[in-house]
Amino acid sequence: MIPGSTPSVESLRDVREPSSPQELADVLRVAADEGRAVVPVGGGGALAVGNLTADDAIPVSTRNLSRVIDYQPTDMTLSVQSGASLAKIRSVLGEHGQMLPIEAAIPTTATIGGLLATALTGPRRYGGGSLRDVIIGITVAYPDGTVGKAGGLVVKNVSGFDMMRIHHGALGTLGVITSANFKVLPIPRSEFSVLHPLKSLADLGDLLPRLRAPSLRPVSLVIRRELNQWLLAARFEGRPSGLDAVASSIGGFLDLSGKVDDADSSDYWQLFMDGRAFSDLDEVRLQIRAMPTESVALAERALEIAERTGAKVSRIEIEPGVGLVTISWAHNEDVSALTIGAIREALPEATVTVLTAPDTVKRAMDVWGEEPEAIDLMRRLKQEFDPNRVLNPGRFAGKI
Amino acid sequence: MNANAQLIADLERVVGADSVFHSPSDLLVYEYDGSVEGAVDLARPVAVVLPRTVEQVAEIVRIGKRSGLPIIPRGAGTGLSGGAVAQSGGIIVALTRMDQILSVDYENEIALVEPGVINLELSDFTGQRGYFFAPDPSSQRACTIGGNVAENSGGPHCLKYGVTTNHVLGLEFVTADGDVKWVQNGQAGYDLTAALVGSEGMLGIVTKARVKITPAPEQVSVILAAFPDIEAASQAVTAIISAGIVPAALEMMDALTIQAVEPAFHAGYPMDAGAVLLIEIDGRPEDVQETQTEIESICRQAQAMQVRSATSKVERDLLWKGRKMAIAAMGRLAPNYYLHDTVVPRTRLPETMKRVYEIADDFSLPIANMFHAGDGNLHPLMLFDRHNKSEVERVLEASKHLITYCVEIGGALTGEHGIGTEKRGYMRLVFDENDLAAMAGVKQTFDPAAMFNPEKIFPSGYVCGEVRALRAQAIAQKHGIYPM
Repeated sequence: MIPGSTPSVESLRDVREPSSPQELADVLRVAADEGRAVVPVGGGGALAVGNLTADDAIPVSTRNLSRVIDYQPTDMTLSVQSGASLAKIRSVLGEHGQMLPIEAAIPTTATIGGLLATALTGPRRYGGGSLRDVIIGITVAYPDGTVGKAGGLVVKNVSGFDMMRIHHGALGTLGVITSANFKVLPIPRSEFSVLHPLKSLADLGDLLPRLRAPSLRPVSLVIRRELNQWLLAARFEGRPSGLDAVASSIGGFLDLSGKVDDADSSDYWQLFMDGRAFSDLDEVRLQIRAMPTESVALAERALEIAERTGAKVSRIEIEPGVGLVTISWAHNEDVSALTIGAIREALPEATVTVLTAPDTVKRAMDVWGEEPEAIDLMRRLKQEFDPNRVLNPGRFAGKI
Repeated sequence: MNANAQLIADLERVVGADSVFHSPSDLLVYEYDGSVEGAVDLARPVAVVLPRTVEQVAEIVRIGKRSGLPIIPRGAGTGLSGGAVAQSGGIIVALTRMDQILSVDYENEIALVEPGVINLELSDFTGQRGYFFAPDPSSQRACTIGGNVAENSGGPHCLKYGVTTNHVLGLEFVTADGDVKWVQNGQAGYDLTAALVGSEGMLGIVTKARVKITPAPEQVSVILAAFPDIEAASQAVTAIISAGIVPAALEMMDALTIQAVEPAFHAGYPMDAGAVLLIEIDGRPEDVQETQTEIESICRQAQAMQVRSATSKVERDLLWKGRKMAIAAMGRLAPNYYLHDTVVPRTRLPETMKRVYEIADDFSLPIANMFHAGDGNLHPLMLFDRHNKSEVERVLEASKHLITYCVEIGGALTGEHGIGTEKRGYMRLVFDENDLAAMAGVKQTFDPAAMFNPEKIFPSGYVCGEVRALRAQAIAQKHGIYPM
């Protein structure tokens, strides 16, 4: 196994910054020839994600691949290089009232390539989907020095295998995405959010089933604990008249005194996402994925375990619509590994991923948890695309 | 016992004699699918097996592997690109008897189904509780969910709801080694679920699918807008989209289609219209009402001759009937048709349609058009008589011109029908050696012996296992287009 560490933006030295997809592919090919490892870097915000990788890996940045290649507002298609920041894309699309369905911490640094490679999403995925739903084309630099594309720039296309979704969430371990094409969506005409305080999780009562009614269903739904206060935050989008009707219906069971509209509503969710930045190297953060209806119960059990082991939980966020729980605590050498192990053991039905943790914790485990059933096929896929294990060696599931 | 008889005996041992077809008369119906003879050659499999369990599928795959014969998974055989035809012989595994809806979890909005479940049956079943399965290909009364997964099927409503891959959460499948694996979206590692969707049966045989079910919208409204010509209708489409409206469906029919459909089904389309748009919107009642008013006004500004809206189910169904039965109505015009499936950027629709009619003139072929205008997904339907040799030749030649044109203006070979054998000869129009090599890497991962559904997607003569050697060769003849 490669002795490794988590690279941080500050620790990056001798960063290669190719300015064309072919140049990037050449860097990969040379690294393969020389037996070196490569860490692809977008904005650097998600370097903490994954297992440790080779200490001497060459950082290859997409900083010089940040162009908007093509944007056709009336076709609602966008082709953009992978190093473009989400903020830049939002501003280009926003001029025509359009957007991509993706949220990120610190959009000025988060790149579209990084968001694709990590497949990290925000709560709006519940009603608004994710990049996985809208990616229609891709160009990838491979370690054999070639650049290959798939899909196209039309909104519907089944020509050949779906390379787009194979690279989505692959953490740059099969190739480095150099550009991607998307079908874009209109920005909803109006939105509001409700921040409904809860005494405890038990206080939820039948709120969740009520909010599942199609006409009342929010686009984002989070239950979180902030300063020891539980809060249900729900975001609604649509036309103003429809939203008025929603507000009057949910007013019957949600506290509307904390209602925020339009820009204030979207600001709230951006702040929420910024809170998810991986800025604290001492943080341990788990992501627990299960069936939506089980998520609140799973969160309760995870909290009980943390209480028992002595992990000081600093943040917990439940996304009951998508079945996701995010739980964080400040690292403590005596409790972190113990708590992770106990949560994994207690929740066998869930996928528990360690999103970030100090190196000492990561070194002792596979942060992705138990190997998936099809790990053999995944290893073969890696072998096909990156036989010399150039790209992020050891960092992905099964230490691929 | 000869090799064939031995194979049949082995297969019968697994599934029983009543589930293996091998006599020429039994095999006849499995020699083709929904595609057009001429564009896709008929081919006879050695045998057709109809398993009922995943264990049987796995055993069949192991038998196939030992025999060295190709294995072709097949659903209802409604595919339009030859994907389910046994191009080089082999064993067809027809999954139509694995047709159980195994479970539906309404709270989590998922269903676990076998691959042979008919698309519409899942919507009918879950409809009792206010849900539906969103992908709705025109063949939904007959096609199977396994087939939808293989082809990544779309349908009119995928404009808003997305195509099959957006609705598949997990898959059980039998690998080329005869192992059974479960993959699911969101688990650690690569997204093999997505790799399987749309892989046209070339990577494995799907034996169970966990799919999303979608709550039925509270309110639905259908708007019919008739225009003097395609340009005006296209302008309305662009204006609707530019206004930030994503309808549930946005369909266009041209004059020839209207003239075939209206006398047959009396859907109320004006006979003198040059184009008709069917626009469906759904959602919260207030949103639907407001959107409907906005769309009606956009259509009138775009010179619509007539705009009508329907909200009751009976009226909506009548408006849709013409569109849904349009292909059936073509029988009134000609004995055969060749249905295309190219996609162009939405704003290029008017010029593309102009080109389509030029091609119709150049080759003296009537071409009717009914298509997903919102997606830019064209379905030019070339009318001919297959007994007329010269017509068949003209259809194939006209098809080349049409497909090449669509690719040249930035379009795609196929929006929802798949490449199959039908369009594999065109793959190099869009993809170069490196692009194909990456796809070949996926094939090589799942099925290194190229047992599953050979002679599909990749250009004729392309061997995935030899891509690296071939790539060097191909650089010499870069951008060479394979003959049909």
